[in-house]
Amino acid sequence: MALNILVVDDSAVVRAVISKTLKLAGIPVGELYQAANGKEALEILNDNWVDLVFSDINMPVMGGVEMIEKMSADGLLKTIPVVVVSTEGSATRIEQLKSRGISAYIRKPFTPELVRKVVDDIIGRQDEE
Amino acid sequence: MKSKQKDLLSNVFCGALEKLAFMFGEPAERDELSPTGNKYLTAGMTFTGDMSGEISITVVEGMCFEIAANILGINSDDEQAMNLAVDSLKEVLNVTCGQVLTAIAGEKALINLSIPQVSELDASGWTETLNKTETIGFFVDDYPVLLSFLLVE
Repeated sequence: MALNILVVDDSAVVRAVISKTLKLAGIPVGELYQAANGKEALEILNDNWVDLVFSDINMPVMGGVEMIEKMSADGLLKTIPVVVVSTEGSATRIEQLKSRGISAYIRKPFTPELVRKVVDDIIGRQDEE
Repeated sequence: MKSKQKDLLSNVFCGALEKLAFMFGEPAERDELSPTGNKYLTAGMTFTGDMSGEISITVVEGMCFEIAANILGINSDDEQAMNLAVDSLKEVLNVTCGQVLTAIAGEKALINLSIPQVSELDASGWTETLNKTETIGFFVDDYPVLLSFLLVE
């Protein structure tokens, strides 16, 4: 089944790299949506069916943490898995994000193999549920 | 800058460039890095929290096209490489900053990063950056590059 994926990052080059990595990883992508910040992402999420979100943390207008908090407060959006993709390596930060309900954390730079594993793990968990 | 910190910065920066953009860097002496053109780009960001300071990377403009092309796997004269050149420099800085801070402060430290900003420099701006004590120089695939890292006590 193809996944509708939303990529949220203020960097167009990172959005392009994630799109390319998804293809290289062999992940079946249906619609690929892109947003430059959390506010744009929430608008897309409210208007479209999205199966999985890849999001940065540090973005102008609305950062990733605020976006995740708003998704958690919404009955429908809170069920969408969020994978945070960031340069930060702080274990404390990652724990904070996990306590807010993110599904996985990928540290940049990343490989297609890692992205594939993360997506497979998330889909596997959903199938078990 | 202390030699231990300089080595750490060099290793992390060259490693980040290699993994992200498949470009290879080596440290260079200041007198090898005199300005060769008149248009440079500098990407800078600050960090606050368990450790505070600022970090910047300064390059000749043409190198940004090369970085974008390498990250995206396209030719450097491709329109997409031109359009994403500035973003690519910001991303190299972002990754370098994240890796440097983890290497220095450890994985338990909580540090907030600003959003990278890019500005243009001329030859005098390049020389001014080169002469700062917190700056170290490199050649990356023959391009001169300056990395500045300053911790605020």
